[in-house]
Amino acid sequence: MTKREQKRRSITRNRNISPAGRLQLYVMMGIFVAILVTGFFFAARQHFASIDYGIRNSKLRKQLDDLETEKRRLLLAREVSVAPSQIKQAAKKFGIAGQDVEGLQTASLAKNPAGNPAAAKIADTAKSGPAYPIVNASFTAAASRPAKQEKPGKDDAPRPRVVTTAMVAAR
Amino acid sequence: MARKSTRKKKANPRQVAFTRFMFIVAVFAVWMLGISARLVHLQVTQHDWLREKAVDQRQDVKKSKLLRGTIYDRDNRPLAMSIRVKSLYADPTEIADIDATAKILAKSLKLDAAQLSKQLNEGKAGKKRFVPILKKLDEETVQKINKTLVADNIQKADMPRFAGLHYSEDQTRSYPYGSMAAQVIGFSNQDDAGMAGIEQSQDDILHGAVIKKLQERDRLGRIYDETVFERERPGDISLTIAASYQFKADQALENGVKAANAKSGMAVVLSVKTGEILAMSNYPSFDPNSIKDAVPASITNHSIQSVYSPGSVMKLVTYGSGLEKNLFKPDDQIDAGNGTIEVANHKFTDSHHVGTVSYSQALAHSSNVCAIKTGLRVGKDDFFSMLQNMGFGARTGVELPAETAGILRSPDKWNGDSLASMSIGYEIGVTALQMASAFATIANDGVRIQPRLIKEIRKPEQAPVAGNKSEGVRVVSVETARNLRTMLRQVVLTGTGRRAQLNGYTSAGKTGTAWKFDPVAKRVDPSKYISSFIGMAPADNPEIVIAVVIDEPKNGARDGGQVAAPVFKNIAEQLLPEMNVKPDGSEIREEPVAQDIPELAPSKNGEKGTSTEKQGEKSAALTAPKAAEPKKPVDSKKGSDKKQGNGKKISGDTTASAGLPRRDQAELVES
Repeated sequence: MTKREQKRRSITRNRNISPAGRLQLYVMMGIFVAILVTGFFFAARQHFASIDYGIRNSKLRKQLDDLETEKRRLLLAREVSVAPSQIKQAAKKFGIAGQDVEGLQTASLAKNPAGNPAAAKIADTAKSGPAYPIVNASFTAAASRPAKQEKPGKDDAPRPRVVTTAMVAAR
Repeated sequence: MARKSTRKKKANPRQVAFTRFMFIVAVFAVWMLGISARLVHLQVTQHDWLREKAVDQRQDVKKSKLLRGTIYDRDNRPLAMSIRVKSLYADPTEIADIDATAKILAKSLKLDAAQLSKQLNEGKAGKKRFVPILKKLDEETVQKINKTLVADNIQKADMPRFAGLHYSEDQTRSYPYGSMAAQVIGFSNQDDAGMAGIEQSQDDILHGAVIKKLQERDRLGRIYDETVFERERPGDISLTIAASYQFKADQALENGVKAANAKSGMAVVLSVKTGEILAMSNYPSFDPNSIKDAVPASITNHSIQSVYSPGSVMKLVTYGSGLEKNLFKPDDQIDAGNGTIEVANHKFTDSHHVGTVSYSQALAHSSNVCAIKTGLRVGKDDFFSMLQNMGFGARTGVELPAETAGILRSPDKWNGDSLASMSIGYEIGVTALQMASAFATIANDGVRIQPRLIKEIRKPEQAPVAGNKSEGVRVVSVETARNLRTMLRQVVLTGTGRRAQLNGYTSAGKTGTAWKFDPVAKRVDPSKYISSFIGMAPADNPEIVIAVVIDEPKNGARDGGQVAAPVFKNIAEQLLPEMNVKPDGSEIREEPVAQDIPELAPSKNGEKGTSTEKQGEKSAALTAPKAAEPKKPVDSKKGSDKKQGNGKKISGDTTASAGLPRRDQAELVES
């Protein structure tokens, strides 16, 4: 058998595939292509989903950082507002603790309480305990009053706690 | 025709198909080869450039510092804490028209347009991607800027919506209580480095490390992946001071300094049993939130960094040494003679002589002659040893920077009169904390505990570590300590410290007044005093020791009993109830101030002055003994019927009953 004959026979063999077998072949090919396309599709979807999750994740992380920062800022603001000097300032602003309630001065007030009812009151309060309750009471009163009633003067303006060089420049 | 058909037959279709196929393959091969060559060219020769470009487009490395650790008080109130802020910077490479941008920015942010334009142009020329514009902006300002700087038709993920502008993370330190305990807490600079106080001494723990964040961004600049290179987070520090105690001590000291029109003052409150510093005040103080406005002198923590001559307060050590050597008992009698004693050609004089009195009364009335006699009996070596055991001449070891050891010369460098001078608190330099620690030792039954300021150190994911708790060292016997406390109690009841009597509590302590040394004139300045009172309460079972030192009081009588004792009283009366210490005394119904006995001091005769000048050259801490206090009118009525701190009425011959004859009592009152 010559080489040419051999080639011819092999071609003939291929041509002799039955239609059913060909269909099976096409179906198989179709299935494989579909699997491949589906795989690519899911891979692409996962890729974009991961990027999307990544973006969301970073946003949430930033949000968390921002909230953490805000929490610290509020904590700081709270501490500033409960600082004795600030309470004293607030009390002074509302005229509740105009006089200093410190021991030395309360002692001098206590000497002649009869002549000055307000002084006697302060002295009595001071006797019952340290100066804090007085200050606390004044702070509560200050908080319950509408803020608009009082216009803070220059000295009463709250001191910014955050470094303000940039703020000044920004203004 | 036949030949033609033969030729056609020769053109085999398979062969043609094969040829065409091969041609297509060749075209593909060339195409692939071309692409491969291009790929090789790009990936080999232009690899770095492409990589840089790709990374630049996609990746972003952000560096930020971890927030500096927080300093808390003993009740977990933050005394110093850092918060995140933002800094605005420009990336000039992203800005097309620098000048136009600079004009807009300058107008919106109230900056100099020319300066800004210059900065941005220089940045662009140098391919700089970070040109700082505004630093440490708070949230309010950031929002304002975000509203102001909005460019049209810009696709940018981050704020502000303006080409080439970005925010970087930054932090700022804040001190919510302002000037309170400012010298103790200290402050940190712009680079987050501690510069004073705890901020400086504990910088290793508090300092926040720089962390790197590798961010992957999409084409809109949105971050879709982030890798954070974690570093150890800084620790927090909890101090032994309490904000409440500190505030009260600050206020009392401020009032005291203002009332005496003094230059400055310091107060230290020590817990007797633990050695914890509950408050450490200095006045005037400064606000670490605005450090630029601070006066340099007010930044110094004088309680541990400044040395002064304690004066009569040092008699505690003198009598303590004598008691420890069993040389006398508190009720034994000592003769002050005519109120003068000469040691090594140096004449020491009492402002008024007390005659023969008990040791208790000698201390109560602060007799210099009696103290010198006691000191001389104790001897150089034992006295020096006691000073060392009490902690003088050495740092206390408190966790603060720049603490001084004070001035204590070894006995071989002493002059002939040094022992006498040191017995009454001269020729020695101490700090307020050292003095408070010495008194705390007596209050703690003779066991010395190292003062400490750090309660605990908290590191992330670790159990809190307690501060340095030193083992107590016995300095004097329990009996000696108790006897000394009894003697100190007399100072408050009948002696120079009667203004330190407390409402509801018993107290004990000692007054001290000394002249200041003028380093320019190299001699003492008789017009400048340092007045102090160091006391403890309650007297029998002390919980706290409070040292009050007032520098250069100018108003009225300037001795420790008049100037510093009321500050002690003010602090103690506020702190003791808050510390839940049970009252052990009665309320004072009357202020026992009309018949105050001025503290005794050596007279400023010529001899003494000469000697002091000689000593003054050796040490800046040396001061000459003070002059007699101004005399006060005697209220004989009150003198005959007065009340003690515990509220009990005592008979007119108080001093007599305490060992002072009635004849001497009259002299004492008149002096």
